[in-house]
Amino acid sequence: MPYVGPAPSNRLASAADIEAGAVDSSELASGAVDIAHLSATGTASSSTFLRGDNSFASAGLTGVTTGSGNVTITSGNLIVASGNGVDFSATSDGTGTDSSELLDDYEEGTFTPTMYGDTTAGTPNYDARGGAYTKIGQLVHFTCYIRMNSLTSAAGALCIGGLPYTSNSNSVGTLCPLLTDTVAWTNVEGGADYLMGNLWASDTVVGIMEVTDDAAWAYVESAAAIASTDQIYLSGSYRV
Amino acid sequence: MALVEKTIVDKIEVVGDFKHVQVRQDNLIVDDDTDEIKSRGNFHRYVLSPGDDLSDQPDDVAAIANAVWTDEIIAAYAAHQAEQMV
Repeated sequence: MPYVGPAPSNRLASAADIEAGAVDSSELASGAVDIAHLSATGTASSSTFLRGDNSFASAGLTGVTTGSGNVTITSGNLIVASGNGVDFSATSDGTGTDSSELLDDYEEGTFTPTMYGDTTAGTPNYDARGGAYTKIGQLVHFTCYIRMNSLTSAAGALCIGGLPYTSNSNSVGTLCPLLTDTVAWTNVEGGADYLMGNLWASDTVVGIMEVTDDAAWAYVESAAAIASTDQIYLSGSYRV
Repeated sequence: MALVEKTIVDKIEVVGDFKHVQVRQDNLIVDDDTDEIKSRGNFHRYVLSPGDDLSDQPDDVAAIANAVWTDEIIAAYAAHQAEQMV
């Protein structure tokens, strides 16, 4: 039968022949198009998903595995934005008053301790010194050592300074054990029974105190206490 | 490739009633040719108290300290230190 007008073309329909929105779910029977007939790069499988850039990609996150309710990072770190952390509020609480159940900081590093007199700092000559700290949440733990050659012209309480963080204003009563080597305790106002570091509130200072049986506690006088080769090892934990 | 150690100030914090200036340094290991950082996170800290000498401090640290350490703050910190003596 002859056509009137141009003969119909037998070319395949192209995207230009189908208007945008012309085919929607009402024109397609359920299951009419399966994954195998979608054009995308990559491999369709039970472990891949179709991404918005028209490619099949592995499900999950690189370096992260999940299973049995656990999330495991097999490579890399969990990076928490500043001000956020790990929330433990779902766990049972102690009998005290909670102030926070958010673990929001961890850091480790070094610091440089100093030795001086409180009234007059004096001139320290260090043979060796060093300190290390670990901060977990609001608690700082530190260890340090100082070996002196001399501390001249110092006056007032003997102090160890240079702690890595400023202590909390409620840090009164934070004590720090210390070990001394060759420090002549007879120079400590008649000889103390033991020495103890007293960390000052809102500060970075540990004052060295002498404790003597049946006597008032007192700070060690820096002028007499320290001589060549004297060493002090000090550690402690305090809130910031 | 030559690896060199470079110290930067990567955090400056003003904390507490007396405006202590907490400074964190990071001791980087850097490729001297490309400036690529090979290692970081080797921290060293120090704290400046009101009235401390700032002459050896980096400009940004000194600027912050000078901005927050008013005469009133310096005096209050001195009084606080005296109170620590028992």
